[in-house]
Amino acid sequence: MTDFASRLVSAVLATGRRLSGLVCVLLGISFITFTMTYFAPGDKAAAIAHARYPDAQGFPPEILDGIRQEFYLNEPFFVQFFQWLWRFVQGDFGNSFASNVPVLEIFLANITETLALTASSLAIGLVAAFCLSAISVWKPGSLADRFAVALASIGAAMPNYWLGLLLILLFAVELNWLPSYGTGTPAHIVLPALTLAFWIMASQTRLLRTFFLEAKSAPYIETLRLRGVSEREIFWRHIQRHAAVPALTMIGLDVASLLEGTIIVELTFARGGIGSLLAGAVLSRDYPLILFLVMFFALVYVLINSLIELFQDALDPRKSLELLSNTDVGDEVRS
Amino acid sequence: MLSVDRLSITISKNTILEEVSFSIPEGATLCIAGESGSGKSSLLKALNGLIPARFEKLSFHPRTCPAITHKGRWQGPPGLQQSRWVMQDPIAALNPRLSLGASIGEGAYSKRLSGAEQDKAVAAALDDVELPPALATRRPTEVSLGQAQRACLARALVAQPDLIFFDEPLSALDAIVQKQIAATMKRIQARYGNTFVIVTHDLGFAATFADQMLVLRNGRMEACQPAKMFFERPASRYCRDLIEAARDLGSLPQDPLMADEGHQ
Amino acid sequence: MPSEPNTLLDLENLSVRIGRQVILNDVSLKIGRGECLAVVGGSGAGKSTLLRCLMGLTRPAVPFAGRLAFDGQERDFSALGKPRKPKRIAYVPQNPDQGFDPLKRLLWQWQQALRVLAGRTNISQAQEPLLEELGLKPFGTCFPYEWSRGMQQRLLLAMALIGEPRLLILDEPTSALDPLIAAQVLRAVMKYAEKHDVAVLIVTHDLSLAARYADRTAIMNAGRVVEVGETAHLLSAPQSDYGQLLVNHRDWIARDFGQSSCSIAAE
Repeated sequence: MTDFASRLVSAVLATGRRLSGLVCVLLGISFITFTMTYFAPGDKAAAIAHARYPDAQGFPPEILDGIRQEFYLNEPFFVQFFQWLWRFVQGDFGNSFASNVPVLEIFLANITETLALTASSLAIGLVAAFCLSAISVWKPGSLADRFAVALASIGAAMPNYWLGLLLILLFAVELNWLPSYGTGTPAHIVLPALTLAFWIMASQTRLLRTFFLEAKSAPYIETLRLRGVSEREIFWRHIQRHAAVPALTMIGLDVASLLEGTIIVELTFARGGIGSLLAGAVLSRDYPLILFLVMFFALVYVLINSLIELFQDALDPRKSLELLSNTDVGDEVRS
Repeated sequence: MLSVDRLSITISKNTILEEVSFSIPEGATLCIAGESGSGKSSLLKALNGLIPARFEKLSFHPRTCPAITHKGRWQGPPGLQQSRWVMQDPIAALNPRLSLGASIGEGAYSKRLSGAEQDKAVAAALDDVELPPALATRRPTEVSLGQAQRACLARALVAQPDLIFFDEPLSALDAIVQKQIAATMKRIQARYGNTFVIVTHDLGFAATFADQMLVLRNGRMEACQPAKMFFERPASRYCRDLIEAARDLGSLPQDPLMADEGHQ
Repeated sequence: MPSEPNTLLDLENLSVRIGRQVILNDVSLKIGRGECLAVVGGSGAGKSTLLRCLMGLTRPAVPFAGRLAFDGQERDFSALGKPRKPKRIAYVPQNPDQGFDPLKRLLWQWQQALRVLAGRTNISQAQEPLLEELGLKPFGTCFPYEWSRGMQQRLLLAMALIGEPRLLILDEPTSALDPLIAAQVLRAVMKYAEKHDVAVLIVTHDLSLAARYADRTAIMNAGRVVEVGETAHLLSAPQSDYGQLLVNHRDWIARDFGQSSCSIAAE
C-alpha cells in the first residue's frame, strides 16, 4: 500500500468514525430535549389551538381532540418522539405556537443578526487575544505580560450582562456616541460585539499564552536560535504554528459558549437574533421553536468541534501516522 | 530460570516481535541489545504481562506456562511475584512525593511485612546498593541521579526477587556513575545470585555483564549467543556493525586483544 | 594580548553565574585550527553553559568576566541576553528531536538554514554537494518523522555545515542516539573535519569517547577546568583527582568490579 493511499484510507476511516459519533450525539440531544418539553406543564393542544385561532376565547373539545389526533398527543411517549423526529429529519419543523408561522421562517428571519454578532465578536476577540498573548510571551514576567494576564482575569471574572450594562452606561448614556439598544445600523452592533469580544479575548488570551509558552520551550527552538534564526521568525514560523494545534480546540469550545453568550447579550441590548428568540420561546412555552433552536445550537456545536478535529489532523502530520503504525522505520541508508 | 520459546507480539496487525526464543540459567545475565524500535522494551513488557503476546512455551522457574498461540490477554508469567523491574529514568520511576525509604518499602509490599520488619528490609536494601542510611528520608529530587537509580535498585532488591529486569538502567547517567552502579549490580548478583535481564544499547556495558547476548533488529532475533562467542565471532553482519560502532564510540576497546593490556 | 596564529578559539577566564550561583569559574580554553578538543565532565559541571557562551547564547546565565577571541577577532560577552549570529561556529544538537521542528517539511527547514546561514535563497537542493557528501537522499515532501533517525541526524550535521564553519560543536553526540547512528554521525564528522580542516569540539560525559577522537581533552568539574592536555598524555598520567577518577572509570572491559575505590564520592 502506498503512503498516500494508506493515508487516504485512514483519513476516510477517521472521518466516518467522527460522523457516526456526531449522529449519535445529535440523537441523544434530541431525545433529552424532547423529553423535557414532553414533561413540561401546560396543555399543548390548547397552545396550538390558540396559535391557530388567535382571536378565539375558548375552544370546544372537538377542536382540541382534533389537534391531539393531528399531533399524536394522545399516543405513548415513544410514538410521539419518533413521529416528531421523523418529521424533523424530513425538514418539517412545525409551526410556532405563538404565531402559527413556520419555525424555519422565524429562524431565517433572525439568524443573520446573530451571525453578524458572533462573527464580528469572534474576530475582534481572537485578534485581541492573539496580540495580547503574543506581547505577553515576548518577555514573560514583564509589565506587558502582567497587564495582559490581569486584563484576561478581569474579563474572565466579569459577567457578560454586567459588562454590557457598563458599556451602555459609558458609550450610550454618558458619551452618547453609540445607540444603546436595537438593531438596524452598523453602529448598533458595536457595543454587543465588544461585550462578547471582551469575554472571548479574556478566555483565549490566557490559553494562548500558555500554548505559546509551551511551544517556546520546545527543545528545537534553542537549536533554531543557535543556528541564527531571528526571534521574530521563530515566533511567526514555529511557535505560532505549534500553538495553533491546541488553540483550535479551545476556540471550538469557546464558540459553544459564545452561542450561550449571544442569548444574554441580545437580551441586554434588546437585539433581534436567535438568542433572544430562544429566550422568548422559553418564556412563552413555544415548544416547536425551542426544540428547533436547541437542535440548531447542538448541531452548530458538534459540527464546529468535528471540523476542528479534522483541521488538527491536517495541522499535525504526525497524528495520521500514529493511527497507522507505531513501529520505527529502520535505517535504510548507511554510510 | 527463565526460558522462552518462540514468543511473538502483534499489536493491531503490526508485528512487534517475531518468534524470539532464549533461556537463562539461574544467576546468569541476559543482555538484550538492539536499536530503538527493535522491540527490546516490548519484549520486556511482554515478559511482565503488560502487553499481550503469543508463545509456544514460557517457563519461569519452577513453573511452566502453557502455550498461548491464539490472541488473548496474557496476565504475566506465573512467577511475576518473584521478579522486579528497574527503569531507565529514576526520577520518572520514583514517586516525587515519597521519601526514598518509603518508595523502597513499597517494593516489599507483596511480602506483607510488619513496620519494623519493613524498616529492617529497607535498611538492608540501602546497604546492598551502597547508599548511606541517611538518604532514606530524602525525596527523589533531593539526591543525585545516580543515587536515585540506586534507590530504584534497592526498591527492586527489597522484595528479594529471583529475577530483575533492567530497562536501560544506566543510559541516563554519567560515565563514572554508570560504572559505579554497574559494579554495585555485579556485587549484588554475586551475593544473592539473582538472574538479570538487561536491556541496553551499550555493548561495553553488556560485555562486562552478559553471559548470554540477545540481539534484536526490527522485531526479529538477529543473534542469541553466549556473550564470549558473540564478541569474538558475531553471528551476523549486523552484529559486527554493532560491535564496530561500540568500538568507534569507545565503549568497547579498539581491539579485543588489547582488552587486557588496555587497562594497566 | 594577541594569540598565536594557529589558535582558532581563545577563551580566557570566563566566569558565569545564574542568580547568585556561580556556574562557570575562571574557565580558559584554546582550540587550534583543525583540532579536535573534547570537554569531559559529569552532569552539573557547567558543560552546557560553557557551550551556550561559546555559541553566543547566554540566557539565563550571566557572564561577568572573561574574553573570547574567535579566528583572531574579539567577541563581546557584554551583549547580555542577545543572541549573536554564530558565524563560523556551528552546532549539532544531541538528537533529531532537538534539531527539527516536527511540523515543518525537511525541505523547508533546509532552505531556512540556507537562508539564515549562507544568505542563499531559491536553491534547488538536488545539486547540494553537502547532502551528497553525507549520503542523504532528496527530501521530497517528507516531514522529519518520515526519515529514520540516523538520516535525520546526518541532515542536522549537514545543516550545521552550511555556513562552512571553522568550528563544529557536538553536544553529547552519543547519549541520546543509538550507537549505530552515533558512530555513523561521528565518522561523517571526522571525515568532513579532516577534509575541510574544521576544528571539532565534543562536549561529553564519556572519557572513552574523548580518548577515541580528541587530540586534546579538557576535564571539567564543578564549573572549573581542572585539567587540560594532550589526550594520550592525560589518559596515562592524569594530574587532577577528578581526572584520575575519570580515567579509572573509563573502560567497561577488564574493570575489576570486586573493589569500589571511590564509589560514592563521585556522585
